[in-house]
Amino acid sequence: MPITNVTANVNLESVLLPEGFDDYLDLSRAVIVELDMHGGHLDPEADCPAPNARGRVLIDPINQFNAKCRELGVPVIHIVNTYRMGDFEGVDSAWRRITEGHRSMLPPEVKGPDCPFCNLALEGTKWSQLVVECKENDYVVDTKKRITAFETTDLDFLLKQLDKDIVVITGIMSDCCDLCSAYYAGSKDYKVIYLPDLTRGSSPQNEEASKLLISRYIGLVIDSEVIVEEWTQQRNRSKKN
Amino acid sequence: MPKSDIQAIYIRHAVPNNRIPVSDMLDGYFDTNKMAVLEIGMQKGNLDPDQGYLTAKEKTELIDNINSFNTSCRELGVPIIHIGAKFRVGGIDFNQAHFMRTLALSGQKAFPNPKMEEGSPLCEFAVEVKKNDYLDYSLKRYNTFEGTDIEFLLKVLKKEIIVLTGFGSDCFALGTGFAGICKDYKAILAEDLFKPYEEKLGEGTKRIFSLFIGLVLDSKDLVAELKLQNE
Repeated sequence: MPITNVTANVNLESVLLPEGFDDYLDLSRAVIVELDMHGGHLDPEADCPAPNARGRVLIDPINQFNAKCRELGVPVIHIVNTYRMGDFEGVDSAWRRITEGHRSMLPPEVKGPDCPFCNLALEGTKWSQLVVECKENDYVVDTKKRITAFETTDLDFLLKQLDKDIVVITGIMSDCCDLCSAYYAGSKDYKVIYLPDLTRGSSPQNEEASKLLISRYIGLVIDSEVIVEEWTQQRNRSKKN
Repeated sequence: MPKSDIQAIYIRHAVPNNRIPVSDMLDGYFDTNKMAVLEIGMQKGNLDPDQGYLTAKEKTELIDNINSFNTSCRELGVPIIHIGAKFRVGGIDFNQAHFMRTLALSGQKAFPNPKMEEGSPLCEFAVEVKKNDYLDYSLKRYNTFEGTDIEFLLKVLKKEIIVLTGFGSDCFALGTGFAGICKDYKAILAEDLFKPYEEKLGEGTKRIFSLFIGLVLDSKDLVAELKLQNE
């Protein structure tokens, strides 16, 4: 049984996690997979290539959460989108293709100013730099080219080398990269924990939809303070022993 | 330019009926030479009313509509790939299938039907299977690329556009759609031909698909457009 009263979000309600999920909560098997907390989405300037304003509120909370995880010995992996210069790697990304295609059909007064998607995550620019703290023993996987953290990257390899099978997802966006990476992780049989208070998406409605989808088909949806408390008690217990 | 007035779901800005005409920038989605249908989960184990997922009416409606669509696709030269499961006897394919645990935690029945084991008649496809269709029974997870030869098959068929139909849009269409586009396939969700496993997740699935994965289109509109493209 969990040491603390771990609650999970099931059917959009907070419920006490029943017996049978101890393996999800094992501090020694967990790793943080933090998605896309880089300038290309979070820079506050007007020329931000693919702004996610909702995600900016996560910067301090994620920094604080990651600090606690480091104290507990839970590795932090920062996943970063990085494209080679020249806009040939990102141009065929599906979200960009359909977004630009649909926008081309809208009158200017509806769609507003165009975003310079072509600049998103270009290597060597601030758009591919993390805006959260990256500490000495953190890992950075910076070959993400599409909305999954797994394709084109060595994340799967890294998780195996670290011998971790619990993937704890934070970052942006709930209904895009987070959800896609969660489906990938679930289909690769990782245990997935999704932290809704440390993720944001395109809208509150889609954040709720992502939460429900993940809680059904992929993994556990747990608030960050709940999992940190459980891990802390596990660490304290193992120290006593 | 699209040759019909085909419209896709669009929710990023306020547009009438959340539909937007498909731009000529997206013409590449309608090339029948590069298109294949990925029809997922249309097996007796998932559809037969005595298995507890669908009523007889729901099953009949879905099968009839998909059969009709598949017929149109075959006439246009678009191959049909029926994707289903044939799990190893004894449950070993579920040893690490954590999604079964979260479904149970949510009070939902295991899906896809774990009784679709090798040798079981529940593995039979409930839709019409025609001579030049392709069958793939290696489905194991909601991302139907994982652990299967779907990607290999699409490559040898030289197909770049996947049209998704079937049962379980909220799990299979998202899992497969996300993976497909990350492998740079163009993805289309036939919104009237991919029934959600859980109805209340269907709308969210379509919204998310329309934002980040591909085009969400009515199948009749899609067929009309493809016929005009082929003229």
